[in-house]
Amino acid sequence: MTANLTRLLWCNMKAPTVSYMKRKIDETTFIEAYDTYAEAIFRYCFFRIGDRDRAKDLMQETFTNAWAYVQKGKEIENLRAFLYRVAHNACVNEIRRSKAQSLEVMQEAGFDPADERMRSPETEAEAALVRMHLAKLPGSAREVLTLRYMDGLPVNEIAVILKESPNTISVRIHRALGELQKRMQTL
Amino acid sequence: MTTDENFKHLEQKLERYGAGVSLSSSEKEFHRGEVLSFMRASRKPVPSPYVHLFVLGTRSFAAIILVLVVGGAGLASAAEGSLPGNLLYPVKVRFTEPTVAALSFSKESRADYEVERASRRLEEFARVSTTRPPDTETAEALADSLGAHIEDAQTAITALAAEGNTEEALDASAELEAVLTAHAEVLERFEDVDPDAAEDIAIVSEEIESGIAETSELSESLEDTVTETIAEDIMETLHEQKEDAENTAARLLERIQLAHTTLGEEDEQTALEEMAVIEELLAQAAAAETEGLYTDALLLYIDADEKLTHLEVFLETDTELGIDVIEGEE
Repeated sequence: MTANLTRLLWCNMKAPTVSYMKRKIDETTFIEAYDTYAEAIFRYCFFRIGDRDRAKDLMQETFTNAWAYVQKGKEIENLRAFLYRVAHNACVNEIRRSKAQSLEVMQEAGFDPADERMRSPETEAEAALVRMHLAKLPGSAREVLTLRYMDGLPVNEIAVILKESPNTISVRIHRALGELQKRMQTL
Repeated sequence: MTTDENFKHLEQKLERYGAGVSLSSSEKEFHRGEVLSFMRASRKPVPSPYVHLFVLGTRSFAAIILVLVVGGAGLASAAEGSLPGNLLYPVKVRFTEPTVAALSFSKESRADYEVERASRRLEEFARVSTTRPPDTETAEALADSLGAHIEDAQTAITALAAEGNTEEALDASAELEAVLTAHAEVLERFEDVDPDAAEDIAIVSEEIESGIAETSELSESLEDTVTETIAEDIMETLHEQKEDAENTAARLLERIQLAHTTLGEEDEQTALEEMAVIEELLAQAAAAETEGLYTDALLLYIDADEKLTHLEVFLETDTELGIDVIEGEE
């Protein structure tokens, strides 16, 4: 296991320091950002909330809230990280507001998050297993795993979004993976 | 399987699971429209200095623009969900998709989009085949189109790798391989369900198999490059970490000896004991390095470095500020 954590930490050490210039975002850039990040933001909201329809609404809300911020003349350094931050806040509000059902509850009710893509029975079975155990993890663990593996964000960027140090994020990912692995092995 | 392999395996499972949760193109398009409406509604009106030139013809001018914008966007949008045999299908394949591909703002998004196009052709073939048996003409047209998309995707992936983004290129290549493999399996089932269509399906399957073989070779070559780069970078990091830790250890040891009078006997003893622990870690790290266990060695150097930082802060506070923060173990 140590090698895995080393890999995560090493990534932080080797990753170039991301520096962005604060800039104003125009309409074209913003709509390009929608085309590029809508899917990932939706996925992030889905894994936080566990409700596909609400996740779609929250994704849309993320973009409209972000645009409202831009319209106030505010400048943004890293648009992707900013969008995730807005999505994070939207999900937190949603959880507080509605005490949303957990993924586990949704799944017991026969919920299937899959889209219309065709998947093999093996992939389907594997997804069901991952879904079941992932749903049982604490929200914070599910959040870092979603950002890292489902959305493929680098550790440094997750650190910016969650306002933590990259090493803390690496350790959190490492622990979350360990917890998930433990749960999957005890099946 | 080792714990590391288990973790790697789990990471791949999570990535696959994540890839299965996505928006359909119509959902994405719908919410895009909603976001655009919101953006337009909140737009601050800026009067044009030339507005008076158009006063008389405002209505007709607006009508023309509306027809052009809504007509063009509407046609492209309606064509998006079309299937082979539909009237709008050529619009999608020959106009919308090449336009989107040409507008890709990075090589990474271009590679991803080309992979998606290959996947789309196969999805369309599968969808059409569920409503009517495929014919030779459709199968041949699809095989040609698929072959071209696979080639475009591979070219985009190679271009991405050539820019130094080998890991991203490897991701895209693995995605292409996975998409093709999954569809090959789907087509096998179609053959089982409808043996009469086997010959036509075989035309497409052959193209897929050839695509899988080529992409697999590309992935292997990219994997080798990534592994070489990681190995080189680990060694570089290891040496930097080692040098830092050894230099700091030597400096601190000297400092403890020099601060003999100000530290006090008990604190000096505690600091020396801590240094002994650090030196033991450094010795273990050096041994691991000699045995070729580079990641273990790196971890041990990092551990030693953390302890050195703590000790340095404590020593500084103790000797410079006179605050007794070094405590012996109870």
